[in-house]
Amino acid sequence: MSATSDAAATPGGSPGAPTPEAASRLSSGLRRLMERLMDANPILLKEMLSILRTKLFIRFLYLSTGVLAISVLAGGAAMAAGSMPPATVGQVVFQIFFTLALVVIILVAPAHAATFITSEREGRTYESLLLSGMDAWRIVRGKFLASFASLLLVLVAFAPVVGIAFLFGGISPLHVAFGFMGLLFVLAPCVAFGIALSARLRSTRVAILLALMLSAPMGMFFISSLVGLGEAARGPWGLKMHGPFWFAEALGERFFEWDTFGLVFLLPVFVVSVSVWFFLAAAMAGVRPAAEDRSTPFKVWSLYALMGTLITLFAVMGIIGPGDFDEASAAFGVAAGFLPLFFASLFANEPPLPPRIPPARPRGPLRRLYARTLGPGAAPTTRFAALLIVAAHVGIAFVVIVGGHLFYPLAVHHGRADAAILAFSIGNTAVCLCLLSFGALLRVVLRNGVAARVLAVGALFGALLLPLLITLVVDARSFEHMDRSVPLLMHISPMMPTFLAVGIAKQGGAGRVVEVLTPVIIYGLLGLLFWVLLEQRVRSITLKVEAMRAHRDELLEARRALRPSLAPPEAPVDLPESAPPEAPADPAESGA
Amino acid sequence: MIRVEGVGHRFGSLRVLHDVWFHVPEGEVFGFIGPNGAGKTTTLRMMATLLEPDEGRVLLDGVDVVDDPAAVRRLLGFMPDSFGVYERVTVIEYLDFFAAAYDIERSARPRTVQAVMELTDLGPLRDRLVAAMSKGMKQRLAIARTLLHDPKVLILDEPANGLDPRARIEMRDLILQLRDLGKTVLLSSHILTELSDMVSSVAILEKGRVLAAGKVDEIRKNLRPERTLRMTLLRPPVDLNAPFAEMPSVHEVSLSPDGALRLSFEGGDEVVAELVARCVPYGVVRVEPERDDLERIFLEVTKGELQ
Ligand SMILES: Nc1ncnc2c1ncn2[C@@H]1O[C@H](COP(=O)(O)OP(=O)(O)O)[C@@H](O)[C@H]1O
Ligand SMILES: [Mg+2]
Repeated sequence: MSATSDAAATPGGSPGAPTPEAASRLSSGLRRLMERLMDANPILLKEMLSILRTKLFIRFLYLSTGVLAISVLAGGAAMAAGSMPPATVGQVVFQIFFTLALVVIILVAPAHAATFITSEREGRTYESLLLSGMDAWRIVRGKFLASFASLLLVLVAFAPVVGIAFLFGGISPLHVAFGFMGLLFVLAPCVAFGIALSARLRSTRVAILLALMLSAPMGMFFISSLVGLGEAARGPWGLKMHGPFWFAEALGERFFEWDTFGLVFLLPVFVVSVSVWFFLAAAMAGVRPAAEDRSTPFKVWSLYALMGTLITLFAVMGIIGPGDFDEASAAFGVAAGFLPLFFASLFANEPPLPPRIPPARPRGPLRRLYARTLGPGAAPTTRFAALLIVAAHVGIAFVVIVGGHLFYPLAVHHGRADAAILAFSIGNTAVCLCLLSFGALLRVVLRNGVAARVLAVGALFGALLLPLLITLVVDARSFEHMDRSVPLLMHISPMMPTFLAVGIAKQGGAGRVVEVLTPVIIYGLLGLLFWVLLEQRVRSITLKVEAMRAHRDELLEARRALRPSLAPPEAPVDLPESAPPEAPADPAESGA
Repeated sequence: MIRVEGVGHRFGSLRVLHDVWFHVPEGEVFGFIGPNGAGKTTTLRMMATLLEPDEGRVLLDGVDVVDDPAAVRRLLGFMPDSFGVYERVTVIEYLDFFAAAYDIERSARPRTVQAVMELTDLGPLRDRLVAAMSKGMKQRLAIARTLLHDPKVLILDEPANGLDPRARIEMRDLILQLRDLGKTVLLSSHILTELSDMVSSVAILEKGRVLAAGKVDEIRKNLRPERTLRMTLLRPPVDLNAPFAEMPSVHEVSLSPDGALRLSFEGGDEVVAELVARCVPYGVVRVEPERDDLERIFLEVTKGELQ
């Protein structure tokens, strides 16, 4: 009966000469891989089976398609009754159809996905799922795909309605194809967001409510900014349609123009993938118990996010044009600086001890090295994030400087542009590192992720506001020539690198780069201090926990020896009363 | 096979387990008995890696459940006391799903699922929707699920809870069958009679403390050296004690509600033979050892605690 796969448990082929054994192991490994690929995710299969047997879902399908068709028809008919040319009517109907579908997706998808993991918890099926040894990624992927696929069915059901637009003309099948692509681009992050919520929450009702509360305003903001972008693109690209789905026309008409391709296709692909990946990593962290490795998926994600952002920044450098590239490059560089700031707060949420579960005994020398130096646990994660922050700023400075010289070799203001981005990236590195190690230290000391984060962000705002307020009270007029000289007290603000960069880019004065030394020294030293404290604290907790376990095991062995029967031993007489060392921060239970 | 050593646990400020210590030997059916709220489920969830003990440790086949939950999960099948099943799939789809979840190779899955369905008598229901099954069937389905990866240890939390008598008997037969397959089975229950003819060892838990643990026979011997016999007579004597005059080993004779004689005595089988011989004139219809040994042990053990 047993067919438990041992192959998965044994380490992969050992390095060395390819012996016949290794070859056969390789081939069996390949066969397993093939089997894996052919074998659909069991959760996906199960969810699809249940969904298709759910009357409610089928009813929703009919009902929503019907309502959509009627609204689109009514809109089209109302306009056709007016004096609009048929082609324009067709385009408006096209926009109405896709906008309605978009609204349905934004409202329904997160709420739908938000039920997918909480329902297992509420139905008391979740534990058997965990006990089956399914790993978090398989669960999250299966749930994501299942929710995505069922909403895809909704879109497929909607598809025929778009035929109404063709009755009037003015659109091409290519527009429709790109319209649906846009819907899929929105659908994926919506579903991933819902899954992340679902993995974090216990109650289905709360999950649905939260999903709706968050997706409605975000959706409104998204649609209106989409419309705004469309209006901006209309002139230069000669578009005819109004409405949020202008990009379908843009892509249909000028897919091979590099600016359209980059801005309306590549950039959205990056944004969609980076957000889907982030939400799925968050969902994995929610599915895994607190005692397991929750940060590695985020670490892999952060590398992708950084690479993509740097490439985008490079492309943007090419677009801004030679006119005021110095100011624009500083602005975009500063904007990219939000990413390392985000990293700093993201990675400041690790429990002190590394997890006990698989990665505690990782296979292969590389993984072991990773686990020990940069892996899960507060100290290694802080090291990883610090490296990442430094890499991000080096990357930003490098891309802006190289991009500037490459795209605009003849521009005159290279000196100030380079100085500005240098000042920013050096200063912001110190600020981010300080925030990171402060947050991580708080997390370890307070044993509570939420409280630590609130306090860290509070401290950041305090550091922002205090110099600002004091300067306002003491000498408000000093802000008037901010670009030339930053007010004295503002030198200690975490925003100092930004002020400095903007000032240098506008007014020149590359020598002012040295002014960044104030924040670098203040935040750098503070960050270093927190970091040392953190490493120390983690080490002492580790030692304490190890001592406690050793003490416990010793005591239990002694008691077991006293009476080796099934029955409980008598309370130890000649043993020291069990007095374990003071309980340290429990790394497992206090996770966010 | 399972060692629970000095385990303590608290939920908030409520201490639910105190220094729980017992040992489940390999290949046995072990009963974990205690009234509702005694802490049985809490202990079992620790064994199943779903909860970490605050104090002490739990070893399964020598592996600490906190250190290597993944290894422990491969070793054990756990059926929680209140569990859910996916409703809108059929029996075979359900088992297929878990076979895939347990990472059983695709080619081996149909065979595995078939074998488990045969063992649990689910074969005829293979295409039945889970939603349309009775509680007893769902219980069997849940056990079938825990058997898919051929675990050495089965932990069943209140497996007979809410079952009708027939389903109960089927459950007992299944458990005995599993024991014969060489599995270690740990059952919890707050109803003693449903365990008495299955288990060879028990641990008795009350208010989070183990009151007694070990082989049923041993515990009984330790508690009360005396044995009890039920004898049904055709014509019971008016004076119950008359037939046993001058037998110091007989402690007490009483009449059960159903008319049978209840004899408590001390000694071996020769005393039993003597007792029967003395009763022959009254027409011996049936002689049997007292049935609910476990219940007596339980009452005996927990008396002090309740007073
Ligand atoms: N998650 C929990 N939170 C708080 N108290 C709990 C929790 N689970 C169980 N308890 C309490 O622990 C005690 C033991 O419960 P349990 O282990 O379920 O007992 P049993 O299974 O023997 O009936 C009970 O008093 C119960 O109220
Ligand atoms: Mg219980």
